[in-house]
Amino acid sequence: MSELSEAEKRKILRERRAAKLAKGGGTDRLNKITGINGPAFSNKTTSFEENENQRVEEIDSKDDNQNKDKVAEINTGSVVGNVGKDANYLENEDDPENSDITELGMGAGLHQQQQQQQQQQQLDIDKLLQEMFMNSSAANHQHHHQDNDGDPLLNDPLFSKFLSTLKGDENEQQQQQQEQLSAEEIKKRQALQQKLLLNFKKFKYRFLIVRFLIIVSLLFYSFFNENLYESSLIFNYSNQKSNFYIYFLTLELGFAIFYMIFIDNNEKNNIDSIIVKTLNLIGGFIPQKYKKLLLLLAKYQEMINFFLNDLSIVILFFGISSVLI
Amino acid sequence: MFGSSGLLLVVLGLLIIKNAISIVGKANVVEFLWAFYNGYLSRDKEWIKLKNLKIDKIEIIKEKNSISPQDQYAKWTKLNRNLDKLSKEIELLESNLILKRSIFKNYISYFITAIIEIPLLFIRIFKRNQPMFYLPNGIFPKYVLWILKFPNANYNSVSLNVWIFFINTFINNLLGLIKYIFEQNHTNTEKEEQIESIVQS
Repeated sequence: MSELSEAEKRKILRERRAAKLAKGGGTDRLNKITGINGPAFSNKTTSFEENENQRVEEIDSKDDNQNKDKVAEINTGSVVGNVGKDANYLENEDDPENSDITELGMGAGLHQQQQQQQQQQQLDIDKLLQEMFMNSSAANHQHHHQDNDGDPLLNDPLFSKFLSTLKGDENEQQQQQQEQLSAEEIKKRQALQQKLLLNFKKFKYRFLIVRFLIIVSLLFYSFFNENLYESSLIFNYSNQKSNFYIYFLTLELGFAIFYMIFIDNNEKNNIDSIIVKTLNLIGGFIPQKYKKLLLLLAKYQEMINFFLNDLSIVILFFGISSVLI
Repeated sequence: MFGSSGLLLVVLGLLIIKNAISIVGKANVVEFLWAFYNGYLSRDKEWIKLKNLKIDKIEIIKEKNSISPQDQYAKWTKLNRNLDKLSKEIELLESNLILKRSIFKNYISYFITAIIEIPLLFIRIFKRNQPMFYLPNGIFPKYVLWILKFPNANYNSVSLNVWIFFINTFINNLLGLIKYIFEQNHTNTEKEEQIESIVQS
């Protein structure tokens, strides 16, 4: 037998490698996994092939130059001889009939059944999603009319919110668009807020002046017209009674009502209160129910402040009069 | 030490001063006093020298700005050199005076604390049960009188703590009103116009 050139030797090896891959070096593994030895696959592995595989692996792992001797050995060895014997070994091994490995381990019928089931499931999921979206849009339309006859699941606020996020609810999209305000609009809002705050301050101090004048007038009236005894540095043993406190409380009630009406009419007014400032800072951590209560407390705090401010005028008046008179 | 009337007026005066300082700002008061001391009371040589140097510096700057550097280059450079020299001297003197200034400021803040906070503290501790004055009979109901005499004053009287509380309330309101009126006259009108223009745009 004539010696083959190196290029030819390499070509042969490559062909054998490709054939081996095409046949599937993992046919045995596959058969083990599936447990079926079909007619398309061959279990036959000759000793020649096993040797072949080993040598191909050795050659693949090293350089061609380094393996020249090995190639020469192979060529002079059984490979050359066996090539001559099994020259048509590539032609003897046919391609498998069906290259689709998904059918491995299953009969054709089983596979079809599974496909049908999958298709059915997809249809069911599509149907379910469609129903959900239809119902959610219906629920959104009915939301304003407070129609609670629908699905209780849809009436759950968390679930409806989840649906709306999935669907990309139109209302939420609009809100998102609104939230993407331009710099001018933000500036405008801030200016509006400042304006409201300034207006509230203006009202507060004008109201203070009016209250101050009214209380001082009441004091002078009580002092001169009702024969109110002046305060003194020693205890008074007289039994005189005065209606001053009734008038005072009546006035305070009037001021409180006026203030509440003003605040209610101008709801967007920012009440300058410690409670409101605290709420603005930590508002996210407080539940809505308690926020309303705290805002109500802030309103009442203002009214209590008015009462104390007016009482301070009275006490100061009596204090100074006790020294001067 | 104090009768009721004296105590009442002393407490009133201290609280007025305390609230006024808090409105104006303690730092501003100290700065004002430092400038007053240096302007009229101080005989510190370094301070007088610094004042003179600053006056000279202003004159040199005026002269330098009045001439053209291209036309009178020699004079301009001479003035520039003098200016740099004066600036360095001023810097040196100011750095020397910084320590004196901080010492003076500390003394002033201690003084303010001593004349206001400490007397109030003493009064609160030693005169806490003394009534300030007695109210006319029948003017307030019993529950209001109980609050006014809180904690340990006599019946139908106003206690020290209540008196201090009400004075502070009244003074805060009054000073807030004065501040608002002051701001309204000087700065707020322009600000309001700006805000109005932004809102209406």
